[in-house]
Amino acid sequence: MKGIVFTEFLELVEDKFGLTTVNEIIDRCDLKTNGAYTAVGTYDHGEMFQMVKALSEIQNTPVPDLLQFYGAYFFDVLAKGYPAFLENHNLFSFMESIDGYIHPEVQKLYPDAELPSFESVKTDDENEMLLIYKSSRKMSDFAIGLIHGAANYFKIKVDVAELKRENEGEIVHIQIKHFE
Amino acid sequence: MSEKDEIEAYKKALKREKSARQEAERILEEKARELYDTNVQLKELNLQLEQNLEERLEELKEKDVLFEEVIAHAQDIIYQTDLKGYFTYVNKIAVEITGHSEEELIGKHFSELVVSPEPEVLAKHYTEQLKSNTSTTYLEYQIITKSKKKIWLGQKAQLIVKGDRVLGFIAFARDITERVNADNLLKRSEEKYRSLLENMQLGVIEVDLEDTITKVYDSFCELTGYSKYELLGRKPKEFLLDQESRDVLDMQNELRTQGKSSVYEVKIRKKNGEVAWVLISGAPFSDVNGKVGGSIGIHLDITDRKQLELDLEKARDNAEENFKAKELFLANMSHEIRTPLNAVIGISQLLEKTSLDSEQSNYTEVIRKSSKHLLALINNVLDFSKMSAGEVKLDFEAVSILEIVSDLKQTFLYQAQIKDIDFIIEHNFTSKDFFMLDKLRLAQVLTNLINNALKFTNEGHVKLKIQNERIDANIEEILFEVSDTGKGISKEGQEKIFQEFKQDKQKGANDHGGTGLGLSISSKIVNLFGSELKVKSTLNKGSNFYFSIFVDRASKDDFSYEKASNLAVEWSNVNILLAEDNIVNQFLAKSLVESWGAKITVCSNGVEVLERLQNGKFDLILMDIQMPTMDGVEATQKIRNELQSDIPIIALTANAIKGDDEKFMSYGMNDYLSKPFEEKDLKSAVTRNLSARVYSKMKEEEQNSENESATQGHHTIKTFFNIDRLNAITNGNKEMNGGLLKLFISESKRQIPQLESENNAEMASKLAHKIKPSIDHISNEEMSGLVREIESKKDELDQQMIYTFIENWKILVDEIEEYLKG
Repeated sequence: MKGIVFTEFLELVEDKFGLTTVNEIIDRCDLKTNGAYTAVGTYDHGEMFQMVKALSEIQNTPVPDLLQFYGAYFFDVLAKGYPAFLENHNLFSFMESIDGYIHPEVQKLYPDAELPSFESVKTDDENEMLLIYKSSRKMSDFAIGLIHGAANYFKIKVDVAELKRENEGEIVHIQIKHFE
Repeated sequence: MSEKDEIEAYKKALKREKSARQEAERILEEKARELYDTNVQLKELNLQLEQNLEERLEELKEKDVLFEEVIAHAQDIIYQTDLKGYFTYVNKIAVEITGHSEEELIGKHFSELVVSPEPEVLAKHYTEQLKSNTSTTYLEYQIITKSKKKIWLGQKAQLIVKGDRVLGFIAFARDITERVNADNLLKRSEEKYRSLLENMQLGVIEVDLEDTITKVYDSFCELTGYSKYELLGRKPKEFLLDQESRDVLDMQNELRTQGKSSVYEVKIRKKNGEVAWVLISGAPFSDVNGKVGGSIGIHLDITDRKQLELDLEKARDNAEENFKAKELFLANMSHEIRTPLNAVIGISQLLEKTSLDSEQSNYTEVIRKSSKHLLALINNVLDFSKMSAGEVKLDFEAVSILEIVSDLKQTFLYQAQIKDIDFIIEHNFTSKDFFMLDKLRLAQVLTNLINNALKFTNEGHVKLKIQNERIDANIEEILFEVSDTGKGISKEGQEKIFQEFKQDKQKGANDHGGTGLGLSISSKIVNLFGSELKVKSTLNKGSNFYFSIFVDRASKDDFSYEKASNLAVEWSNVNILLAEDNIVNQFLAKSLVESWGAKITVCSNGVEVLERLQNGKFDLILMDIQMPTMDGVEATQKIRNELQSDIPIIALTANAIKGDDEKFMSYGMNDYLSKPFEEKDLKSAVTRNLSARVYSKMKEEEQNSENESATQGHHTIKTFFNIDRLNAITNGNKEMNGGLLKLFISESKRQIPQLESENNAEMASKLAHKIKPSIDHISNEEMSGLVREIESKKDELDQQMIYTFIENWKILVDEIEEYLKG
């Protein structure tokens, strides 16, 4: 997993709960890196789960909520870093472009990156979109957070619902509904 | 949080940051190194590329040189022009062929060299290529060289394109003069044959192996009425032919696949529905591999010829029909002529039996001879027509040459003596020599030849020579030769003598009469014997007619035919039944039979015959074949089958052409006589067929019945004349009746005194016998009875009866004289 996910996570924890909570998380976890991450590195995603779990215990907050929250936050980071990907898009067209354009480009830059797929399914309702999330990392909650972040970016209001979960979260059907 | 804790937290965070920075620096260092390595590789790659490029450029340069060399020395003309057609480059061969130098050519317009086709045509062609942006086109044209030689070029012109711009043309041209000339020659020859075919009105098509039309000439369109478009790609048999012709064509196509050509005729159906006959000459042609690729069919319209053929066939059929009609006519005519002739001959014979003075005797003889001659003539004509129709077949039986010789001798010796010439017969046969021959036909030929010889010989001799020229044990040949010392025949005459109706004029046909058929018939008969009748003759020295035939010696089995026994017949005991519907024939036969002294009962059809047979006893039947109610054949079969009678039956027929004795034998008849017959033939036939049975007991009955009729004779009724019977004979011809009646009166006036003064019973009987037929002709039953009574009393003169008869006779004469006056 790319280092930026780790650095931005710890940055967010420090912002919201202070340096002490950061240290506590790192102390609680058995981390190969001892919590030292750089955005340009690549690290074991298991460390990320350990840290989120630790935060959940410390803050007494469910992991999914934390991941969704972090996802929304992380979208802003990405939007600032790579604005070109968002140009001339709305939410749905952007979501559609992930599998077709953004991730293939990412893969070129980081050949060893393991990226989830977002298969988009059109429905009759033009205000609705179905996404099938597939990843061995089982981080659909992070993905949902990212969707919220994107909706926020495109300044629209959406309901995002998890319709179905298969293979312990490796495949998750997600519904996005646009409302005013 | 205490300050100390806070410091501790920051220290931890700082430591993490430091290690993170170091990690980042390490990663960056790694990336930098990677970058550097990649750069080095790129530089190397670039160098390599440059080197490759240089090498390729060098290669290209070399190729260019080679290419230029090739173009310059190519065997084809290669040149470039600008867009307008002006030469910008020409190769060596272009210079060689045109005779113009490179300098002369460059800047010249290529069409300046062209003589054919017109420059406008060329210009149009290449403008079109440019317009449609066609990369390559082909065109043939003729140029004129500097030395005024005309050369045909076949040119491929290619657009020179750079980017989207067309710069000009590059052209490759080749000298094709030879090929064009050959093509022209071929075209000319094709044209020649095509016009030949068109002008000959021969419809020509080509078909492939599936019989599909692949090529059509105009003439075929004209023949069938179909256009080329309608014919090409179709199979002739599917629309041009009917079923009958299809079968013919299938057979012919089979031949064609075997590479055989043939000529045949079929009917075709034109587009307008008309039927035409065509003669097709079909020949296979081979493709480039030498295999049969299809065939060429040449069609000649023979409808007219076919029509002519049909017409001819019809005409032939008509002619044959006419010929048959002629045959039938002859047969019928012969019948029609023979019947009255029968009467003439018969009655003249009867007349001769009456007492005649010498003048009358002469007249009668002339009548008899003339009518006999007429009969012979008719027989000849019939014979001839039968021979022409091939209806005469030889009937072989065991024949003794000696017998023939003796018959001929008897026939002709007397005639020869009268003319005071010798009739010599030479032969080398014995009485044991029997050969299988048709005696009648052979005798007919010899009789004819000897007759002729006697006719035309006035002094010297007539010689018949019959020579057995045995060739070996199995093969015997008999030479027949009739020679004379007569007038002889001219060379021209000899050539024509065997033709029908031709007599040698030098001989003076007028003097000798004849039909001109005798020799022709003889010649035909000799042909039937498998030989040829020949003649050698010198004018005024004599003629020699001869022929020789191969013969088989008769074996014992061949003597099935027994000669009729020449028994002396006691005629008064003979009772004959005559079945004949023709009254004249009835009368004649009856008169003849009665003149022999035999009894005869007449009936006129088969039914009556059967009735009579059941009620009386008869020794023999004379049976006419054609009769109403029941004919002779049916009656005969009934006699044989139902009555179980073996009574001899002699068939009488007037239908000479159909005459076939075997046929009558098969019906159960014993013999056969052709009408009109002569008395001697009838007599010998009857004699032949009467068995040795003598019906003595019948004699009494016969006499009784005669006595009865004698008593019936004493009539006081003075009407004795009855014209009916005579009318039946003469068909009511008054002149003839008158002649006969006058003859009867003059005869009567001579005979009545004769009988009145007669004292001898026998002489009276003879006289009665003589006048009996005349009485029968013109008087009644009573007189017929009386005359028979007198005739039968040979030993005792019955004065009373004679008196009665004479009185009646006189009345009869008076009645006739009255009749003649009326």
